[in-house]
Amino acid sequence: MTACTLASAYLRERLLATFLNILLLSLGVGAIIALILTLTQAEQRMERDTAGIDLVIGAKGSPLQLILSSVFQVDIPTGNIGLEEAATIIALPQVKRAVPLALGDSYKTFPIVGTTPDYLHLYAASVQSGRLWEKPLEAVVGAEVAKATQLRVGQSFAGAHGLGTSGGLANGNNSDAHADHPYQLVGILGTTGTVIDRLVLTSLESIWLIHDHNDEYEDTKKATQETHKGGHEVTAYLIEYATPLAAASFPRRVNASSSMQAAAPAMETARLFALIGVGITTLKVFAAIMMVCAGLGIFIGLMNTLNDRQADLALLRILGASRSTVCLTIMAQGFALGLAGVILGVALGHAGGEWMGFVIGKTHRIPLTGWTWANEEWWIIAAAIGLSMIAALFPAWRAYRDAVPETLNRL
Amino acid sequence: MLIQINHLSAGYLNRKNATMTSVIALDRLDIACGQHTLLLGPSGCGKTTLLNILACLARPITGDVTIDSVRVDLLSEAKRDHFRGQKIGLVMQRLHLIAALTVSDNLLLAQRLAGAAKDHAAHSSDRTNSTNSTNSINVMLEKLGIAHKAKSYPRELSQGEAQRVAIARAVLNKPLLVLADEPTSALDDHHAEAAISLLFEQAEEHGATLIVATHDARIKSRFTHIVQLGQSA
Repeated sequence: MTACTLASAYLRERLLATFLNILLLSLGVGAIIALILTLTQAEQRMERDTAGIDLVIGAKGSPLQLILSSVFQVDIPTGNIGLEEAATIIALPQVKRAVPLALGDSYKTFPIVGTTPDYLHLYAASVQSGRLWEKPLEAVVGAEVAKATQLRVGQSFAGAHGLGTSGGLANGNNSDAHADHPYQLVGILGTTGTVIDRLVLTSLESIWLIHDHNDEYEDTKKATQETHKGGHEVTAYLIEYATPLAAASFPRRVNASSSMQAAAPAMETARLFALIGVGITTLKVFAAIMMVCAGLGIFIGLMNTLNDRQADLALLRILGASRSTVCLTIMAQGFALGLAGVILGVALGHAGGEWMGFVIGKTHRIPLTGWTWANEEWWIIAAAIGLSMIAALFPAWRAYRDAVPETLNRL
Repeated sequence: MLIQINHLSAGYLNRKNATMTSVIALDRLDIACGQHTLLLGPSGCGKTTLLNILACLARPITGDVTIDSVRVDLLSEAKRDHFRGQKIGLVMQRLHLIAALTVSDNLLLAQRLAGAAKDHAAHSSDRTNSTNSTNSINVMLEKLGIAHKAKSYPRELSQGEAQRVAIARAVLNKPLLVLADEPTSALDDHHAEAAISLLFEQAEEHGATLIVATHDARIKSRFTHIVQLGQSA
């Protein structure tokens, strides 16, 4: 009690130094927490988006691009594959479920995906209002699309060719590319927290119907393929294995014996994280250094004041305070600085997470929020308070050790 | 008898070779209750060392020290801290107040440090206690003519005012013993007279025995019991 009163009086006496110590610590804590929140949510989102997808089959090209385009819907597709060739692959016994995707169009930057109702099962999505598509040119939209575009069941809208993001394909001036084949919105999906929230879903037939009549907008490759084979195309298949053992032989078989490629989401996301991992580690180390500097700041501050307050501490002993009370006064200052730094840091971190969500959400379409709690935060909190206490330990021990008569002699 | 000292040898610990260096030897010193005493002697005669022993800030090398029937030289350090807080008020030469606290908070702190154990039984009436302490502090500051400085910080006080607050704090807990180390040597005649008068007055009023250690011969006339140090030792 007495120690706390004194500690707070001491901290208030040096308001600027106290404030700077707290600020420094809170910046370190806040940076780490914002980083943790962003990473955790990005990882969780990736996990949810890839859940149930063991393998993706698509046109040859970069496997990472195939995953980014067909699972996360953030890149342009690698190309299309023939339905007939794919049919022989997905008929193999290792395949439990194969969900076809036809990509390439968008509505107001939201990708239009031609698929089957199996795609909804993949993400446990259900229709919240309206119904699922039954005929060509009927479409359902994810919750986020509905919110952003204000589309209602019964309204119609036209898709545009290209992804309208960074694909480089037409968006603005060509936005009514498929105006002669408008979709009719028949249903809106409930929020799932997955990629499906920002998709426009329709049947494969809708995509084929629109593009058969719009050959002038097709790229030459696809157009040639179509005229040569005369069959329909899809962009990718999302495969779920019948048995985990399939992972050993199935992808190799696809890659070796067909014009298609197979990519595993787990492997590609791991590769992606390995690529950006260096940057993340650098940021983490930087934030940790900031925290250690804050600890050092507290240590230096307490050591400095200790020299100035030798007289005060001797006076406390004269008034009947025990060695441990004097020691506690110093420790309480370290603890108070740590606690204040952590409280401010957690607040900053979450505000930072929310801000990152605002910035990243706009450009990368990954919903992030600061208003969640990651378990790792407890570790950061414990570490920051522990660090402040450690910083106070030596000054406290010095104060503990000092004998009053000797101090009085020095004064 | 309030204080009894026998065969005392005291000094300081030499950190280099961990031996005690004796600076004062005192065969016998008795001070009765209410027998205000002056410890007189030149600098370096061991006045402060003796005062530190009496204040339970240091332990003697040899000999025994009894204050209020307690062998304080045998007490553990924590118990001596406690004993000091409750029974002894100290006034130092320059070191008066804690800079980070206001005048009244300085006094409140002294009360709290002393009362930490004393009021254990009366814990339930903490609130009334604290209003009582604030009241007694205000009354005391009023008497010393510094009530208007209650909310001031020590840096806003003159040296004389700070010393008055320190004297107030020394007698605040109604100690048995008020020890003063060179309370007047830094002051001019007029202020020295005022300081020593205040010490006497406050000690009397609170029933404490005053012991002053000084080389300042000006205040010799105020004491009937004078212990001359540094010659006979």
